[in-house]
Amino acid sequence: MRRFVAALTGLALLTAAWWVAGRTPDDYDHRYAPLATEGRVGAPVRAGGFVVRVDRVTAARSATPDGDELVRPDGVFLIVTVSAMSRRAPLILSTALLRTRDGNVYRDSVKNIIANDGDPFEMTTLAPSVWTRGAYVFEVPPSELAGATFVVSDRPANEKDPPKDFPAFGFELTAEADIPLGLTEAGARRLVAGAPERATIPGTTT
Amino acid sequence: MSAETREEPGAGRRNPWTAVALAVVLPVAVGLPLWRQLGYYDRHRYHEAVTTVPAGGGAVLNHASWRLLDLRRTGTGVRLRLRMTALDKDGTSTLEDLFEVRDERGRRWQLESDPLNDLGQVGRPVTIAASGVVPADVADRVFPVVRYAPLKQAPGPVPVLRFRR
Repeated sequence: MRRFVAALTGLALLTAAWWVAGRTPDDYDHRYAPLATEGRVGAPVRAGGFVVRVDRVTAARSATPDGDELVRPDGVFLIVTVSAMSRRAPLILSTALLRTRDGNVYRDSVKNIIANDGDPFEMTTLAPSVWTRGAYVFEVPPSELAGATFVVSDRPANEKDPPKDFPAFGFELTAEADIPLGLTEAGARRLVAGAPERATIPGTTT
Repeated sequence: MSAETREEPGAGRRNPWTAVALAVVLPVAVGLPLWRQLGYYDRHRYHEAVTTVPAGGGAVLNHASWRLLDLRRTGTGVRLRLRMTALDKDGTSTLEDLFEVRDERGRRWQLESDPLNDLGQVGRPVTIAASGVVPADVADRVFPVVRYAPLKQAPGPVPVLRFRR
């Protein structure tokens, strides 16, 4: 009887070890992936130390900060207007990207700073219980818009791409909000067709 | 006696000793690395050494003496005024000081200080003003904080002055 119980216990332990090993991600990227909270356009998404809401999604063929200088994108400008606040301490939503249906990633455009007249949202300090409104600007090929997801996080933005096959530094287990923009093929075509030739990017307001 | 029930000589004494050895070795094998890792975490996590300054009083932070002049409500938040007196040459700049207000729930609002024109003299008091956006419902209940925030922070607690109003 004792041998039978010992064998049963050993078998149970082996099964448990096999189960845990099977569910533990074997690569670093998956094991320490960001803790994503999914939301939808128009609804506040609470992720880690911040709350973010996508208010509006528009497109533009060019942008002007002052009505004089003109900034042109590669593809179209996708302008994601958001409202956000921190929950406890000052923070900056410095990482923003657009993840397409095919898994391609577009970081917010460096032209954002010019188009925003030096007032980009990714450099704005957010305060607790104070909604701050601003825009992230992406340069995207029109064919990539359908099914795209807006991703935003307070983790530090990478200055440059990490070496090949090496995970981006500082992303481990950080909070992020993943908000599908709800653009269908037809919706994306309508968005691009209706994109103004010259747009003014909304500035940051509190 | 049958073959199944025969025990090796001394087996009865061995089992308690094995249990005692396991009771010692297992906690040491698990607990010692855990204790060391917790110690490392504790040394490197952000924690503050808070000095509470009584109303009307002063305290020293980052080579300077600080005194609260007032904290006023503005249209969008609060405006803070402090009197700073440099105690030595390292205390003549506010570049490594952060100005905040906090509430009793631990929420923190960062204030932006006005540019200073008359720094650089040891022993001469200057007025530091800082303001920021704070929700209207907590603006009367927040308390001012000056936090030492150097570019390179050594491990250990961060000195903080918390002023009573």
